[in-house]
Amino acid sequence: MTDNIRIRRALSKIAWGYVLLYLDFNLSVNGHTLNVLPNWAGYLLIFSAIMLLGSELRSLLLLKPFCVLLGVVSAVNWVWVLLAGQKLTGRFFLVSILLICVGIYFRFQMLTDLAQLAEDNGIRADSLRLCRNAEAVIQVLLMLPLPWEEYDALTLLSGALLVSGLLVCAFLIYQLFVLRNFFPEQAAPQA
Amino acid sequence: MENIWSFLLQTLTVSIAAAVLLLAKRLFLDKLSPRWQYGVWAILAARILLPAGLLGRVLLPGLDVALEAAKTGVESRLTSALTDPYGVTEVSAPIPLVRFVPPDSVTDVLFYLYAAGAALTLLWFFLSYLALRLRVAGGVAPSPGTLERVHSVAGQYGLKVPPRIVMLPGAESAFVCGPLSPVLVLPERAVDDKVLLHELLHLKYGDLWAGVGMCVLRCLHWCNPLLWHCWDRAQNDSEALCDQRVLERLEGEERRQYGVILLSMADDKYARAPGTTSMANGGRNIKARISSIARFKRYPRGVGLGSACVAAVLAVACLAGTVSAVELPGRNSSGSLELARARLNRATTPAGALDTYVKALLADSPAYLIMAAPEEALPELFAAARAGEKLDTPYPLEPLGLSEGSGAQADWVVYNLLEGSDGTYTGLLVLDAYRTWFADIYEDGQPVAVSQPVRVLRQGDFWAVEPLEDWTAVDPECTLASHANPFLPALSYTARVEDFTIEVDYQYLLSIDNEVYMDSLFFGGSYQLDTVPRPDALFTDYYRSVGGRAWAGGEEVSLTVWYEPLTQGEAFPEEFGHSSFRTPEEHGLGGGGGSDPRGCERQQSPASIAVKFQYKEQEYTGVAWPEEVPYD
Repeated sequence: MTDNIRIRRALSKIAWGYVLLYLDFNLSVNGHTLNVLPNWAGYLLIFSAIMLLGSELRSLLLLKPFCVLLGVVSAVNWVWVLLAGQKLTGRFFLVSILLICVGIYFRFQMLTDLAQLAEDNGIRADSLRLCRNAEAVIQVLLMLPLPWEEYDALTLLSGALLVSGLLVCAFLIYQLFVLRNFFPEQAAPQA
Repeated sequence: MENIWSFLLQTLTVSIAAAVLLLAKRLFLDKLSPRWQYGVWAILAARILLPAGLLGRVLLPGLDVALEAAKTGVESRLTSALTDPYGVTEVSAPIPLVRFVPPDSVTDVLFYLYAAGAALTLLWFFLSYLALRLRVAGGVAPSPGTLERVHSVAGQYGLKVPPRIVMLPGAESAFVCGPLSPVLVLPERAVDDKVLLHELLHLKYGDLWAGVGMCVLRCLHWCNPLLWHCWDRAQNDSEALCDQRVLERLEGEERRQYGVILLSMADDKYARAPGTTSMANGGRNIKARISSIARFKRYPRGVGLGSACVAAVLAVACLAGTVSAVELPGRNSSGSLELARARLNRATTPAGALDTYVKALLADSPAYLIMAAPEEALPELFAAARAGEKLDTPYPLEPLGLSEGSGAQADWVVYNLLEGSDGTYTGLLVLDAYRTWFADIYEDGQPVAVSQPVRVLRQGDFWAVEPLEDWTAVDPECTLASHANPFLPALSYTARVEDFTIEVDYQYLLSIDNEVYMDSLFFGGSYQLDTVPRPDALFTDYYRSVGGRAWAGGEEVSLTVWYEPLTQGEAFPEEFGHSSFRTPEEHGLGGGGGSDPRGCERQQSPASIAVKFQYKEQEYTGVAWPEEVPYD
């Protein structure tokens, strides 16, 4: 397998992993909710992509433990939602906070590394970095303990932030697929 | 912090924040740079300076309940001068606020010990610093060659040279001392340029001031070993950050040499004093710093914003915490935790106090009444709840011939709730049993409602209800007490305008929507009265009815009077609406009402009423003021 094919395969996995992370499709039967696009599957894909890209991006390997942690927590929550109707970690405020921190860092560094990978291959990655920054900032802003529902201006702002977050996610996934397409599917024929 | 319990609440809250930060630092140990590792301690410093429980937000839901339960358990057997066993523990300031009263209990003594310990630790730090300054004052001027080297290093890296440089016999390593007038202290042996650079960088980035701040914060929680550990870590992180700043200014072989110098200090004695920084800070710390140096090149690049976002999330969580409503106690609660929940759920609004009071009496529950009773009544209610006893007050529906075991429910409404000059409210509380199953056994001529004059008083952040008389049956002709009627009183407002006297009888009823939808497996759902107290409720429903009389001189006259209810301090209206009545008119025969689930606009009877009327084609205006409430 050539480097480009390996990178393409890894980027595919990351892009589809992000699809799974950002999209939820819930089926409800008899009061039980099943997310058919589980986040843990997304982390599984990203983990295998990290293993593929580890030789190019050494700092990406630092994310392995975080990927495992987030994947396991997602799996536990997935089962808990199915059985009890709510996320287990949502019941523990401080644990949730630590997981949010890990999640923010995980996605930020992964996109930083992917942007670096793009630039190392002569591909501009400004949009990817912009999406990365916007996603992190929006998530932090939405966490601020403001009376979001008490003032119309704040309600409007939170709505705008949520819509912006959705747009950023969609654009980010698009950027990841675009980046993947820069790497050819087959090895170039020998001259 | 005014007593040992508020100190405990503060130090436990800070400890939880410290544990979260230590865990976060462990998670990001090899991922985020020493800059981040040191910076997050600012969150802990801010947490220490913020009173716990500010704006009702907590870090660990349930901590306040456990602490309140422990406090009441301990303090109810003591007679502490500093602690009210039944009050809610609050941290008014992050420092000990000592009231000089003789201690009456072991908890008072403990608090004085804590406050004395804080003062003594501060004194000890100050004396240590003074002793060091005295030693430094005995230092000698370094050789011109050494001075030249210091200036050369400072010049090379664009750093300031401290005003004073001394050579101190016996000093093991170079250090900087004194945040106000810094002195660079050098040992007798030759000092490497990189060590000088390290100390000058401490000066540049104000690390001496950070050290002073840490000492003060240590004093505030001198008896908390976790926080001492955290500040030790923070000071080591400060050194690690300074190492990184040095490495950022060095190249190639010099970086390796810096590591070697650091290694050579691993066996040096660690004798840190407040207001100083020293590159040699103990063997174990130096090992940690060398590990950090080894990761210097491996920290991921370009994640500055990401690491700032992580720090921001941690800061928001540790400083603001979360809003966590304390669960209400059960009606028959007798356990310490349950009763602590009752105390933490004391009514926060007049409507909440009235609702809780009524439901407590109907349920005969001391645990419920704790949430709406005046502070003076709390010890007795606690004792009753603990012993599993009932209330010693008469059952409210007794005047209707209903016994306590009947299970009858009643909706409540308060008539003419008016704020007095002392800030307390008075009103007539009415329980209407007609709407409940009691209606099925209703017979003509039987009273269906009871009333009791009450006072609703503010106690700190909470509201309590004090009965002013016993419950009495309402006139049997009043079959719908939850609506305006002529059988129950109105407030009388009087306006004197020139020769005219206008009397306005204003009946104002306030209540909350107390219905809840109850699902039933076999019979479908239905609306029933909610029997669970709502201590934070606002009045959501109102009815009003107006009547009155008018006199011109001494003679009663018939006039059309337009009126506008006014709140305290509200300006006289420029225009009147359509509300009017024709004198003489009895209140309770007409009127209207409304509801707003978010709380109706007027939460009490008008403070005054603006009136307008015409007599012999001349228009008059004035303000009618309420007469004194008869049961006050």
